Amino acid sequence: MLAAFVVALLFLLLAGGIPVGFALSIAGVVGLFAHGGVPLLAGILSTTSLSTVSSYELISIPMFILMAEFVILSGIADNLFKSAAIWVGRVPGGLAIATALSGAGFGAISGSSTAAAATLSATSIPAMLRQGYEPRLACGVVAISGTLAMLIPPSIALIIFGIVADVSIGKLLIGGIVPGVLVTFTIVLTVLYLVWRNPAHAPRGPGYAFAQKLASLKGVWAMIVLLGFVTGVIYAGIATPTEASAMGAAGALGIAALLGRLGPKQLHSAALNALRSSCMIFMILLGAHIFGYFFALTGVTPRLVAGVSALEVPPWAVITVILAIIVVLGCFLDQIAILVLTVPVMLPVVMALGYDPIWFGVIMIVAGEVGMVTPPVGLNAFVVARYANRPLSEVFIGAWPHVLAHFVLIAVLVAIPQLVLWLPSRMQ
Amino acid sequence: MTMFMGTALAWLDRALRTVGIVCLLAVMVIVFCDVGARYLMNAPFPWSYELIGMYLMPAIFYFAVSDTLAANHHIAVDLLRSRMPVAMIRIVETLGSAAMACVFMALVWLFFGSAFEKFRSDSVVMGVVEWPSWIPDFIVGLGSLLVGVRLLGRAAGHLLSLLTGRAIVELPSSGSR
Repeated sequence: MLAAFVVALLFLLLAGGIPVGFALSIAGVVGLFAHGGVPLLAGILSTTSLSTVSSYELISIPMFILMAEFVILSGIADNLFKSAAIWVGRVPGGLAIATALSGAGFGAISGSSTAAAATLSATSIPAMLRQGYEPRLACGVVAISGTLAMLIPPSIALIIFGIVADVSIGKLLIGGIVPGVLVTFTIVLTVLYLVWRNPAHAPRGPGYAFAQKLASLKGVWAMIVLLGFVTGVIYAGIATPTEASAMGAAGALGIAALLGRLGPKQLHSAALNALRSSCMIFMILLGAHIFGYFFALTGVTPRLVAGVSALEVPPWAVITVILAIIVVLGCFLDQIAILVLTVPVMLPVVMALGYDPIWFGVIMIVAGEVGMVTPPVGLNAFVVARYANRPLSEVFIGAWPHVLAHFVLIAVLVAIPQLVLWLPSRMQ
Repeated sequence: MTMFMGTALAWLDRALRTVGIVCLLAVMVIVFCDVGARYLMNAPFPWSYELIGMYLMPAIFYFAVSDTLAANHHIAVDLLRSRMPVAMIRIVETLGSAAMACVFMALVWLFFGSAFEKFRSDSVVMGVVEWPSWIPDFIVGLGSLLVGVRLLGRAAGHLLSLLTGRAIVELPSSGSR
């Protein structure tokens, strides 16, 4: 009864627009106070408030965000779409495919779906519309390509999953590579199918000589080398994700300096953005820890695990229901909020059914991203509509073919877990 | 008085976030050099793990939490809020800010108290060096005090705005932040 009241309070606070981290903290504190009074509450606040942010592993979050800020500062991100468009602009639906590729590239930089969607909206939608692309096709591909940011390493969402679920962050990041590539291919294949059905929706662009294609890489090679290095050292076991994140940030700082984009003002601005974004995430994690203690003490999770285990339904049916819940939550909530709210409850259920937590982490991110372009309130669709100044319905309609294709891909990833687990299993 | 409080809070925010930025960049430099020293000279920094975990990470969060709130950078879902009447938003903001202020003020009480005790007893954490153990507690207390005062100010501002009908504090900007 108390647990139900506290969960209701949490959703009331969230619905009222109270920041996610604050809402979790308030609900958790109220629950702990009601459960054990001041001594219990004081004991948990004394330990959690410091231990949550003292974790050495946690530094990968501010470091990867700092890396993204320095890469954006260096101007490389702006060249991504231009370069991709030169390489594939001539093929049918070339600019839409270039959007998917630059979405993957920007995802590797930013780790934020909405930031990726906003950036792609500003660059690729005007270019596609100028070339005569059907607006719904253009908006849909931008909205869905933005979601790649949460999957392609270094993904902040996967790091947060690793921290909340207490599983290897390195394996999670490497586990995101194959699904990230598959999601990119799924978007490209969906574009090709849509253009095959109606070629007038995506007129071909001009062709470029091979020398011009090579020259276009000049603006992005440094980023490709940096990201390859960061992922490579994690995969090879040369450095932990924590160390790789700091090396990546230092490398991105060096690139920005070499390109002459780094003055004291820019350095301050990039570091301040990284500080605030990290603080926002830490606040959510702190709130989730306080709330998690309340859930643990009330024994909600073990009862839920026992209840689900007693159900006479096949495990895949339970997974399907869980993924459906995540897709629906993705329509309303930010990915980080979904992770901290659901992982502590859902992961024990999933593991009791015999599934791998690394696999579940990756699948969960893919499912959550689908929610971000699904009506009624998919966040990425709103971002694209606002930044591109297009009707929201246009974005939702344009994203639908991609949503259906993603459902097929999720089914494939559920049926063949090795697609996620193969690379992590080969790590040093 | 209100203006003086606002200016003082803004100045303290700037000061603490500057320390937070220095800590953030220090983490990057220390870990980068640590990995380099380990591979190139087989001599990693044995103190880096403890320094970062005990002092720098708490400073990165607690010294930025008030500034992040002031900059509206804490993520919130405000889908329903955009359909709420202004008076309702003021009530939610008043209650939410006051409740969160209570949480942070509880941290001030807990952590300043323990920092004082540890300082008085010269308590240290034994590691590669003897780390004074009052510093992390002081960092939590100081950051919580600043954000607690900011939240109390917000709660009072929204309550007064509700009662007088004048916008004494602005409503948070719309859109999911």
